[in-house]
Amino acid sequence: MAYSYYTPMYQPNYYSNNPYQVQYQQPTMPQPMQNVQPVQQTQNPSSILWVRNNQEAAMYPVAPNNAVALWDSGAPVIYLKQADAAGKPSMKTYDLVERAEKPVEATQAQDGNNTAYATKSELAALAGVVRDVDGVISSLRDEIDTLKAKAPVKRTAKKEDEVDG
Amino acid sequence: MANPFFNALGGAAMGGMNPMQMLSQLQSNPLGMLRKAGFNVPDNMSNPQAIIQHLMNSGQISQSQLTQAQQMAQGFGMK
Repeated sequence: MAYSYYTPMYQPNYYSNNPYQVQYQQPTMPQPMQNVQPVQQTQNPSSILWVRNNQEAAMYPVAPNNAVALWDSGAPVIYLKQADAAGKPSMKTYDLVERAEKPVEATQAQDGNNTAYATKSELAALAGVVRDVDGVISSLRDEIDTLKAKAPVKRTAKKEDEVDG
Repeated sequence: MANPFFNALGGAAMGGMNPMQMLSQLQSNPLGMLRKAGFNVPDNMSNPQAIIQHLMNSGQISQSQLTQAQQMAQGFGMK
């Protein structure tokens, strides 16, 4: 992760060639650094600090009455580490959760113009209707059983006539 | 406010070191490099984390200056 805009004095061409050495051998060398400092501060560079895990976050130094946010490079986790006036550190861990586009359905349900979800009262009313229908069916079955019990007498009488004839 | 870490690296650069050498030296011999830059560090400290914590507790560096130095080190792939 290169912060080339952040450290302009450390240009890649400084590493290998004489111009770099000449630059730093000049008596006016401190001036570029002094000129650089305000630029860095006003540019407000990214303040993301990466740590590898929880242990590394716990070991990160924090000045008294300060707080730092440490991003886990291997998981969607942020560690917020802070120190009180005495320098005693404390750390909270937060999980980063990407916000999906689902909240649109939730707002529709809250509006009452609901096309996807039923309310609890609607479900209770439906349960009552189901119970009523069940009761009607039971009574109809009872009537059918009663009618069946009366019906078969006719068939037995016919057969006796046929046998005699 | 100037970053004393950068001033320390600037001093090392005057000795003819390139940035990678400076940061490597800072990692391997933090006590020596910091004292060269004028920091007040106790003799009995060898752990870099403890040294940095001492510098912050004593007000010699601020949290933001440490953050800048850490980000520079991360930019060079050092941690």
